[in-house]
Amino acid sequence: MAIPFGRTLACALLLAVGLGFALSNARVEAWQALLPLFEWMETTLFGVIGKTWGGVFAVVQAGHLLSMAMLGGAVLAADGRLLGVLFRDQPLAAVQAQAHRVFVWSLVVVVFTGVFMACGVAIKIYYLPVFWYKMLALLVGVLFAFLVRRPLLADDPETLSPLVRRVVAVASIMVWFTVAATGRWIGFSG
Amino acid sequence: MNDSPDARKKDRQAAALLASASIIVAFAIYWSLEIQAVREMLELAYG
Repeated sequence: MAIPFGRTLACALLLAVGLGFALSNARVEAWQALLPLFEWMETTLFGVIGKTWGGVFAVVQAGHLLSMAMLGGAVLAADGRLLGVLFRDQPLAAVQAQAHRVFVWSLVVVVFTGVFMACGVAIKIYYLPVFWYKMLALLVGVLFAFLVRRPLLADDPETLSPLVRRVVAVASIMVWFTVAATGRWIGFSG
Repeated sequence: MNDSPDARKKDRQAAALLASASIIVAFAIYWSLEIQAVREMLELAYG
């Protein structure tokens, strides 16, 4: 027996838990508890390679930036179509399906190269507030993409309310813009 | 309890609206605070 508006209630509950965590002391305690993990990250093979060979770090960073560009392109194509400003001559479902495939693969590369880069500068980023904003935006973006946006567009997106389509597209662009912008901000910090 | 495709679609749309509106409000607040901080810094530096 399904709960009416179960997904909406789960979403509201998740938002309430997130807000409670952000406003409570649990956030600071979690941050302090993560320090040993970041110290360990610098001692791993990735951390040693990242710190010792600048050339390897640069190559991985290039891969990270290229996959971020691909991810951004997939987001703009999919959300541009949802907003009705791009690929208007193509079926909505086809654009969403193809853009999602590119999105998933580029996300995998972004996360893998991001972990490598983070290992090389783990202690530096641990103390950067903007790194945590990026991680929060990334988590929100992934949850939004797979638990909200994807199920919404799974069956016949043409029949969705135009308001919902536009609001979802704007939110999606905003989240991934923040992930990219805060990422560059980390690059220019300290 | 109604678990019809129509009810499921309404639920997905309501969840999407709630999540999207929360994201837009939260990120708008975040970026406006960042822009305000930069403006204050520039005012301190250049008057």
